[in-house]
Amino acid sequence: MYIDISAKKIVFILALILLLMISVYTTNTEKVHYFGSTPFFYTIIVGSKYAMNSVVADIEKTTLFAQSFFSRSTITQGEERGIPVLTYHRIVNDPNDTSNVPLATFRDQMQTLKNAGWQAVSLEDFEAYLKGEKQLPDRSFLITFDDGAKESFYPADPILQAFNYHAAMYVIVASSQTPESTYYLSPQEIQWILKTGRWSIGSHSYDGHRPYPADAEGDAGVFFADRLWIPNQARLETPDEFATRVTNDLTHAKNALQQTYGVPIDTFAFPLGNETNITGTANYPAGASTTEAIAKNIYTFGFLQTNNQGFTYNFPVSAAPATDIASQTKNMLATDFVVRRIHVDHDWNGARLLAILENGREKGLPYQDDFTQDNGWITSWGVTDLGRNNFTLNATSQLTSVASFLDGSELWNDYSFDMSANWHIGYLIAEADVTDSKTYDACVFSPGKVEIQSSTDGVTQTLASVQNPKIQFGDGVRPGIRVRGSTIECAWNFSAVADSFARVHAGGIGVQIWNDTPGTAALQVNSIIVRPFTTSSTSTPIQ
Amino acid sequence: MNTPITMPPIPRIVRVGDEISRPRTDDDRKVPFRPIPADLSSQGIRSWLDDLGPWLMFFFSIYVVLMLKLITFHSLFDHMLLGFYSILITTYILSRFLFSYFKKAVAYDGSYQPSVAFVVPAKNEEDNIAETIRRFGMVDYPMEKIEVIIIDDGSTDGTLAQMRLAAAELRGKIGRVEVTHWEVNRGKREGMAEGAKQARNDIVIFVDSDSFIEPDCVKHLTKYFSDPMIGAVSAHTDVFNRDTNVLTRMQTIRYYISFRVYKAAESVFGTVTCCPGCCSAYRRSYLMEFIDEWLNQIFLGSKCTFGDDRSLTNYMIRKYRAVYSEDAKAFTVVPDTFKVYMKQQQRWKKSWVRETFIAGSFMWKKNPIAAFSFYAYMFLAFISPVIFFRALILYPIQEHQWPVVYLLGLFLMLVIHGIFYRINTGQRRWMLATVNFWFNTVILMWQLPWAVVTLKDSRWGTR
Repeated sequence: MYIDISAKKIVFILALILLLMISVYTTNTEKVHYFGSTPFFYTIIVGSKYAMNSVVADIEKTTLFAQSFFSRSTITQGEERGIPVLTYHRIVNDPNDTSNVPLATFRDQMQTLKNAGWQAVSLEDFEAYLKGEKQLPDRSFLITFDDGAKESFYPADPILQAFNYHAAMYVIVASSQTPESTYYLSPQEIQWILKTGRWSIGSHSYDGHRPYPADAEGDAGVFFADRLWIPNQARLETPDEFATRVTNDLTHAKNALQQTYGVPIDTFAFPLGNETNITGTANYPAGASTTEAIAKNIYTFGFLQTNNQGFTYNFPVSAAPATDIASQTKNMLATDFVVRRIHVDHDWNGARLLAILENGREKGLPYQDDFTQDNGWITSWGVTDLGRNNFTLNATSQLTSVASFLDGSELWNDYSFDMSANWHIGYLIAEADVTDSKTYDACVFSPGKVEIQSSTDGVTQTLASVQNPKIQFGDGVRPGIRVRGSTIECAWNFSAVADSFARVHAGGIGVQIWNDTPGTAALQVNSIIVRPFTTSSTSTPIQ
Repeated sequence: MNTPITMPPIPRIVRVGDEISRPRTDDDRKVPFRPIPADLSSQGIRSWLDDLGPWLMFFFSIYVVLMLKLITFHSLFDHMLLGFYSILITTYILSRFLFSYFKKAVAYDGSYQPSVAFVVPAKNEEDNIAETIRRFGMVDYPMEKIEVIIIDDGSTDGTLAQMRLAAAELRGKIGRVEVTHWEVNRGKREGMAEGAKQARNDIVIFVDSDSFIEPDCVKHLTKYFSDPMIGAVSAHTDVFNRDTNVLTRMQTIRYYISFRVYKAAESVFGTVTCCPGCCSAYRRSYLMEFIDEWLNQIFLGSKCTFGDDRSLTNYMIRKYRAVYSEDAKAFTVVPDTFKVYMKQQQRWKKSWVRETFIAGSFMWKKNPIAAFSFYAYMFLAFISPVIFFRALILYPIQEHQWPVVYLLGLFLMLVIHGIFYRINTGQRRWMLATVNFWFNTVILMWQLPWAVVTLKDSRWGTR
């Protein structure tokens, strides 16, 4: 062999081989440390993009901070009265993906909110606020991401970083353990997101987010709402088995997350309905509420979508006994266990999201609405339409009524609510003291008659009934309801026509139209005005 | 390592095949290849810093290749052939660099000066032949020990006249200059054999009619023959028309690497499988043992008319050793159009296929590492088109994805070659050539299977 084996050459080559081996080994261990079993090519592409965006975000954060010294803040200071929560899934690149928000839209949304003075708080602060342990500034909100996907974190985090926003990630435990996933965050990545200080985590079930067979044919059922099929016994599970199964999953999820990540897991986001794209077999009507009851024993708060039956903001628990109308209303609005979240649609630009959040903010009195824009009317059932200087309500073919109430009015107390309407059919119901779609006080007008009713969770009590020939169908009629202290008074054309002294709580305003023939109820409201019963021009809202 | 290469004086027109390159003017004659620095010490510091970046890139590329192997480990595990191929080819190529690093340098010993005979068979090379021959008179070697044998193999142009002119000039310095004229073309193999037989000196140096040797080429070739086991020595041939276009620049890198890395690695074991005809030296006494057998070599029923140099080397290494001399410098002209290049590559692949099978029959007797490397290379060369087909055709169809890892791995390997060239020659314009290398490797991958299919067809046999 014509070889030159000098010591110098051998040492050099050995040192080189050692260096290469160490580099390769270190690269691998570092990658596993940060990304777990995520495939390499994904970590390189997404990781480097994320690193670059983080650097840019830092610069932006510093710039914004410097700017804040020089600009006069037009943001109202004060304390928060209720906090809205937003739900996101993934932040995607495809603008045609209708289930997930595109990156540019998300950026626009966050930028618009930031500019308008909104601040996303941490989950811990939110929980403390709901428990009454902490006050938060005006225009605080909570951002949540469901499923614990990689695309929930990597595109969104630099934006949150730039604006100093916090967020909460709802992790499906079993999915996070998927090896080599390019969809779900691995446990190592979840450690990382917790370390950034911007993120908190909560439970999104252990493995309840995918379809399970709910009948013999294997049709998909919702884990938390349907009785599932037991194949080797060829039967549906019993309600007890359902309860056990749900309890196990919820408990297992909480324990697993607390153990793995060392953080308290007090919140649970229900994987149900349109969050799973599984419609279910609906073979167990009590399923969802059973799950809710079980979850209440395991977690402190449970997140559900807003369902148009309640206000969009969430209020703190109330420890004080209901000694007066104000405290009674507080108790009724307070979060018991369920926290409502607004699902952010993929086509909401920043201005639209801002309008939705602003609509939920406490509205001041006096309040006037001529319906040129939507100031936050929540339609609980039926079809409503506004924006052309009037507000029309129409019952759909199966329904006998249409109901809508005004978001942001829930903290009102002691006011008169008058409207101008075109009324030609059915019972016109002017609602006040609304705390949700089934709990309110109302003046129910029908030709020649008015009744004062009080509804609590859909159970209606008639407090007064008065005949009055002045009350008739017509255009531009002026029904009204006044609430003050323990008095509920009905007005027609600004003069009182009935009263009751059985008022027990306050709340916001709403409108309903009812007719016994389904599909016929219809009403057009032209304008409304709400005036406070105080010498000052603002209401005495619930403190 | 970075010895400045002085520019050889340029012949008037360089012609390859039927294509005509741009005519060079007197101005070209004046521009040196690389400026000779006035201050040697400043050149030393500057070149160390100059090369630091490329060195780092070189080792970083190896690191990335290793990372790629690690990343794709799972899929390699699942697909045994792919996995084996992937690991083997990386190991093989890196081993070539490793062995060439350990190649022993041989110092020139003035006391050993065997007599040499230059043999130049030529056909229709009127533009270059004079320069080729002229250079024999400029070598740094005792002129009385040199003889020159030139064969005109049925040229139809002014080659013979040019030969006679150059020979006449030489006769003043060199004792014996023989010019043989054949009316009818007999083929290069006949020309080489005739030249070797006419020669009387100890070492026969075959030089192509479009190759130019450096003055110290001879002594760096002959110094190896003091070892009686050595039967053949390959010179280091660089590309003469490097700067013509990106294709020639790419071939420059290819030539450089194939000599300085691959032949050097083979040379460590004395089993260089091809001492190329552009400039190689053979011990005449050993040559005569098999020259007729070689001349009448038959393959698949017909006489072999191509791959003469590779075939001759294979005959030599059956019994003796063939090595490579990195100091013996020569230059050759390469195709500057793709069509001519493709034809040349096809020809070379056919001769490679034939000769590799023949050498495979006895290579197992050699040094185990050399034998393993040889058979590994055979395997890799034949499997490459299969892997290529799978990566670039099957995979995109099945997975709807580009074969990023395959193309990236291939590219990185070629980058490693390109950087190596850059470090050792200081030539900055290597990147585009490397990309061209990658391109050409991909689009000419079909040539090897095609060579196997058309092995019997000797239509492209002549140059």
